[in-house]
Amino acid sequence: MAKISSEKKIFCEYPSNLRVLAIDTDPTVLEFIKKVCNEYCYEVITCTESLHATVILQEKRSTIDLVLMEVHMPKMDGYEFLLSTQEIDVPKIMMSFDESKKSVMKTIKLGACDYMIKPLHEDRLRNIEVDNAGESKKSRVVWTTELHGIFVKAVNQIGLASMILQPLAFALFSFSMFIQYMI
Amino acid sequence: MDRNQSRRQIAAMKQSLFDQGLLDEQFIQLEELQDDANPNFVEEIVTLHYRDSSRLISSIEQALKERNPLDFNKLDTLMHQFKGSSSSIGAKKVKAECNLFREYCRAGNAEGCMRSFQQLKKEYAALRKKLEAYFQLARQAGPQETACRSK
Repeated sequence: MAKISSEKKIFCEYPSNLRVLAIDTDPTVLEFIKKVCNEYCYEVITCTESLHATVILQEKRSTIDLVLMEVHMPKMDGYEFLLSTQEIDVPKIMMSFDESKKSVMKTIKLGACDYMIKPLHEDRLRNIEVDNAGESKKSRVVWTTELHGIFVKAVNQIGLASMILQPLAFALFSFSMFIQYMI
Repeated sequence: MDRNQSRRQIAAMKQSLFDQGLLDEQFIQLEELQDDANPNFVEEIVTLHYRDSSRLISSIEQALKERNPLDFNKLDTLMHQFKGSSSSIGAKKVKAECNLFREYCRAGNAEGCMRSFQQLKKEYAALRKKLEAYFQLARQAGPQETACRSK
């Protein structure tokens, strides 16, 4: 079977190291994310408490490229986190076992740019990261309210089912729309 | 025991876990991440899971003792977390028991919850034991090729 090791080499040659902040109470999820990120030479900061995570994000906002967060967290859930970090233009991708449309739409309205259903698959994580890492020059997608408006419109157009069932197609569609906004 | 024999035994053991419906796709996902740099990745993740989940089991047990009345919301939340953790390692049967437990919670059925939890603990313990044996054998056999997908 095609082994990760040959692909790993290719991705490590890319100069951009994506820096990920992963937030979840489940240590197995954090380990899984760390492992996948290591394969592609991305740096990961893990955090098991949402309140602490908001502090990290505020302090290190210019050095974090992506937030991956479980929706259902104690004390401060994903929705509250999204609300309190709305002004921080870092893409936030939510994850959960909660497959309800209600949960997905709520996170999107609050500023999440994607939603992954658990259990996590390596391919799913990899596809998100490839789109960001494919730049030869380090660049970040700055997630603005304008971008977000386009995103919500895209979700309504394509339909929620596509977003969940065909994440790669949806991600590519979204990114193709946003390409002009790359800074 | 020679190497090939060990490998065949390991493969058979694993296949049996799948055939009995104890493990699902997610376990294979974990195996696919295992490589020479992290030859015990799956075992490490599973160990983490058991550490985390035994804490949850104690919390659920505690919550079940606090009757008159049972706090079904709290139980459902705890079980949701436990189910999540079990799904992460591909514990198929345990996950199914979690679903049953949550059904009873939603129906406000205390007896059902108690019975289902007893069954869940049995499945949980059984899988844990089998996985421990599996990993022990795997460690003895030394590094091996990542297994092919079991159907």
